[in-house]
Amino acid sequence: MSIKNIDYFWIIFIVVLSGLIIFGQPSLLINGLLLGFIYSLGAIGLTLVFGILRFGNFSQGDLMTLGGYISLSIVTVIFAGIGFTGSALGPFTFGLPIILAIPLTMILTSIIVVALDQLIYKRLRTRQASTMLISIASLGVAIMIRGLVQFLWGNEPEYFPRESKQFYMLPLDIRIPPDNIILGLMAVLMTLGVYLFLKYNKYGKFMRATANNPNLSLSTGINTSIVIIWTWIISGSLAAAGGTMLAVSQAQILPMTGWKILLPIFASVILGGIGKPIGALVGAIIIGISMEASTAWLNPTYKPAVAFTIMIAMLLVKPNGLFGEKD
Amino acid sequence: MALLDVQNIIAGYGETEILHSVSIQVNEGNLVAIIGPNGSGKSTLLKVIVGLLEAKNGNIKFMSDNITNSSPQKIVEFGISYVPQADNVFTNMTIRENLEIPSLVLKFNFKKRLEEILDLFPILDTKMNSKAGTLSGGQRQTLAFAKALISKPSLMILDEPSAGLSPIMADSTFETIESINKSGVTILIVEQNAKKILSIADRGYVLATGENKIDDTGLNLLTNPDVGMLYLGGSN
Repeated sequence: MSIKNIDYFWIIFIVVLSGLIIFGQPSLLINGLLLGFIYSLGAIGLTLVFGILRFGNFSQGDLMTLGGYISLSIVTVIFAGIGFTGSALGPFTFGLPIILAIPLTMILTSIIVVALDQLIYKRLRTRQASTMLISIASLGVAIMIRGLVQFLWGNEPEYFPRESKQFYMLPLDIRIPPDNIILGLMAVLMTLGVYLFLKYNKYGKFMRATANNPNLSLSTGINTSIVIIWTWIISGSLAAAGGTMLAVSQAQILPMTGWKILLPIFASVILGGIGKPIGALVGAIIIGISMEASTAWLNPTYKPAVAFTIMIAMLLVKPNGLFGEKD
Repeated sequence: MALLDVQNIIAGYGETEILHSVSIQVNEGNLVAIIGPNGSGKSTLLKVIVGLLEAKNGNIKFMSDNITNSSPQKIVEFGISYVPQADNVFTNMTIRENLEIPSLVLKFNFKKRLEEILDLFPILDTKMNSKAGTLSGGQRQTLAFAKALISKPSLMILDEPSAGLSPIMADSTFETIESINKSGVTILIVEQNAKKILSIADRGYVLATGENKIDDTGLNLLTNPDVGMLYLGGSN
């Protein structure tokens, strides 16, 4: 990646951010940053699946929704059923049950996505279906998951148990909900974990090799079936964690929660460069901050439009994204 | 007994049959070349041997094992390394990572083998942490050879290693191939530069339209007028 190629983008982005800090509402930056970290969990999973399996997974948003609802049921049905309710921790609105529910949800969602791959996507790959067809199949999976969520949990908003807590007040009238700090930290740690896995773990290296050159991976003896399973495990885990964090930060969850953020997640992936995990992280942070910052001037309804404007601008200026390589 | 014995292979893509009963044999320690015009099925044959393409008929034996239609993973485990014609290194990974991948697949001591490989290809030593995509064409070919050799294969299969290289780099590549073979590694190679490869090959096979046409020692093929007329542009 040439630094020169992204200079213009960074310059514009930093100028807009500076303007926000000076004239706008700096609190929006903080909220946007958390939103970006949460988006990045969905976006990294999306970009990994694209890198290895070469299709856009339209079910990623609904997998996040499913993860949120699974966490909700673990907390409100299973944990509450055994008497493990736990009061809120320190300055946060939630307690230990939600923190413990996240890894359990990650495991369950991983199992679900691996099963979906074996039942649907693997069969399509075996029949050498086009990537377009597999993408459309993932759209079907998205609708199926949403239907399942509506069937199991209904259409009304569901709420995680929470306690009201004071915001942190900082200079420049910056108000930070304490939840944002812990949720943001968790998202950063998970992203760091994925980075370390890809960099140092045997299967992480196999994933990078397969994303780089699938045919050479095969002829080098890499078991690409296992690589695909690992890809789904990571993607599903991150979607589950991201969905739960989103629901906790928004204080509610709806069957459409994930679907609504699918478009910003796709925008993040394209902005960062398709197939590039680091690009997905940076793209998600930019999209998150931009979307939140836009509400200083625009009706929040237009937030997705902001994400797409940035994405289209990037496609026009640098079609391969911030971290993408030239074809 | 031949190290690799390929008998009556029929294969192709979809309904299109490319190979119509092709047979070749590779003896241990030999350098065996497959030559022929474009579209004769040379690369297709290599893909069938290494498990990237299914044989519709025929039999492939490696040592005493039947490896017909084995998966590429199994082929690597049998001790066969394959270097494709193009895109034969992981360009987004470092040279060290490229060399490490086979050790992670076959679970051998990477550090020990790395030292031995860097003695053979010292040019790679100074660039271990560079991305393979930053290397020149000749350097990439060297890395591809090193990556294939690091697992100490019993058979190395090369698909047109001189393709796209400058004449000087191509000569250097042939020298490298000859020295690898002289070190005891059996090599099966498909090559467009027939004159060059036949001059160093123990044996050569001429394929055309997916069929065996002529096979003989490399030097005999070089002086065979039929080969000259048909495949070397009319002169030796």
